[in-house]
Amino acid sequence: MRSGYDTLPPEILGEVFCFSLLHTVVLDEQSQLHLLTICLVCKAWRDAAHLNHHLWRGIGQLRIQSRGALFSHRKAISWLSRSGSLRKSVGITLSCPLQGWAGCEENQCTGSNAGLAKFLHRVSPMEHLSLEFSGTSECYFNLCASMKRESDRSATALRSLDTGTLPLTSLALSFNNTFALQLGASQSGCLFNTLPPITSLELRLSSLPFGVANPFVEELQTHKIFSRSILRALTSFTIRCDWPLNQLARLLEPCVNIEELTLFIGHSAYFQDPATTESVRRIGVQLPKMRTLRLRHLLPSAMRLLEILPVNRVTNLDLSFPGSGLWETQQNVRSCSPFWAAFIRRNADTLRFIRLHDVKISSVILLEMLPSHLISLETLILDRVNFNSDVFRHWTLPPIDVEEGAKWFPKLKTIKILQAFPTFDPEAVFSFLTARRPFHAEPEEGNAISFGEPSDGIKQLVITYQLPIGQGNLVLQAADEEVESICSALRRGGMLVHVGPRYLREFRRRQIPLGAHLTFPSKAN
Amino acid sequence: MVLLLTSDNEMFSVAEDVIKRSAYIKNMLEDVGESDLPIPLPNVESNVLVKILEYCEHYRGEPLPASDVDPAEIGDRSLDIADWDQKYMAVDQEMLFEIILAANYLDIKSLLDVGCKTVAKMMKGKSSEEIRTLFNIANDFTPEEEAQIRKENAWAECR
Repeated sequence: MRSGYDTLPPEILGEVFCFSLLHTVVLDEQSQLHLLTICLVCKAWRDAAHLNHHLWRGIGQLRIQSRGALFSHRKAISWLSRSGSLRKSVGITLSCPLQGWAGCEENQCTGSNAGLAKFLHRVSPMEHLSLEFSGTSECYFNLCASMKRESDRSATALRSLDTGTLPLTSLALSFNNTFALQLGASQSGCLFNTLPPITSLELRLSSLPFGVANPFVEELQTHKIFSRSILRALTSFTIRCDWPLNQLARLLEPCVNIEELTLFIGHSAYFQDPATTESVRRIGVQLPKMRTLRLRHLLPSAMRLLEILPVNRVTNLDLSFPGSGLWETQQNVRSCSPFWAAFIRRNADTLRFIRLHDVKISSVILLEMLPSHLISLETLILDRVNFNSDVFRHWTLPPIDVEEGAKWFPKLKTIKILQAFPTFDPEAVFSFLTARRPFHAEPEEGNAISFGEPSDGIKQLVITYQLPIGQGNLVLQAADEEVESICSALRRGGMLVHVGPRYLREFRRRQIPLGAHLTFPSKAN
Repeated sequence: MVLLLTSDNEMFSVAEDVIKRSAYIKNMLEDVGESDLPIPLPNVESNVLVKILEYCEHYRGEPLPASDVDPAEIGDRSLDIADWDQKYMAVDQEMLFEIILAANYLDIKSLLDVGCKTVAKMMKGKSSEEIRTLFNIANDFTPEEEAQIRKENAWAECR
């Protein structure tokens, strides 16, 4: 028999490398180092890595720390060139020493780094560019000026971020300075009049000084950040900031072509004032094409947003909450928010995908959040949701508020319960599935499985478990035989089923020597 | 039943629904139709085929993974391996690589993925030297070549 790794052809080795890196779209620094480690094993591995274009298509966390920092654009371009014709992604972080009201002097700003300008000027067309500035927007404009100088110096076609000449479809801009946009926004025109020809934009800002009456909040002029032509061209917009709702609305007002909106919500205080609802309505946001809504760090008090966003044909709803603890500390979370209920009613006919992430929800609220009139729901993902699996038993019963013979989520195809708590009992989930498609074993035919009903729409079940927190050895739980046999039957019925593995912690008592004055209670008595 | 002939001239008679997990065999059966002639597997030895059939038998009747997903488009790939698969892959390195090769030859994507994941997990967190030791790989780089690779990939002074 042949032996060892040297029998594996390069394409399989490349697959192994992809798995070992996990994130292969944009490599973080750790993955880049791991890829370098792989290349240093031997020549065959280096060559196999070079042959797999997917490994090289993205650079993340490229850090430039000063204007004079050495940055070899040739080496970075060489790395990316190994990805062939694949679409490339680059993430660059610029740490600027000047981070205040005074802005950045061009001759000191990290944005003026010559190597970076050369890189952006010469790199082959990118799919996505992420720029994170520790300073203000002036660093961005210094980078633009530096790119223009590079065009002049090399006597090549103009290529700059602020002229629409950099081939790019997706841009992420991040400013870590609180005052990043205020100086610019007070100018007569817009801060960003022209960007590359992007259709996807992510804007990330550091938190505002807290408080609704804060003067910085009052002075925000979000409608002057991007020109209307930039916003009108967007089909995907991600906003990471904690602006008040009316400021968000001003930014969103021109975005009539948005199909995907992702909002990372900060201080919920800005959402609590009911008066903002009316002022937001007056701004007249229209998002007629929006189909995907993602809300992150969503507190119960921010649910008002669901009422304010004028959307009624959402197909994908993806909500991430700020963890179990924060959700529970919010007051009055004893019933489902009326804003949620109204949103679901408006979009029930079109909602096909719902994902809830990182929250502890009681059965009552979860049942209210996922009502029976979600007739189009095809995919339900409960990711790191701490809930009682008994809701699945409830869903085996016919819903009482719809026509006779109807069932819950009749078009459901996929159920994913991800990162479930180690104590999560999947039995109720299987009860639900077997109720949807009853089966029995035929003893006369070698216990062959016979299904009593026509095939149900559910085609995939995935349950994965969190690792238990705490101390003690991790012990792999043996699979429950009954669950295994149901899994096996469902697989034979055509369903893709993946469950587990599930670990529990085994605590070992430490033997603590007892002193002469200590005895066990039983002995003492 | 389908007849399979391994490289060491062992003949296996296998239920069609078991071996159809192999896209290679499935396509061959569809192209050739029913035949009494064995399908030669010149790249698979009998002891490896036994192991492959154990996998196919375990997943007998289960739907085949969707083939329309382009793995290249999957950005984040989990290293999770199902409990049974982990036990199945608890073999010596030689057999592990043979299973991967056979899964590749027979085009059993799910088994190939499990094999690749198993090797990837073995590599995780290890240095180049530790990986060489683990897989018994000789270092064929000169010190100068190693230095050159490091140099090629150091883009900025902060790295």
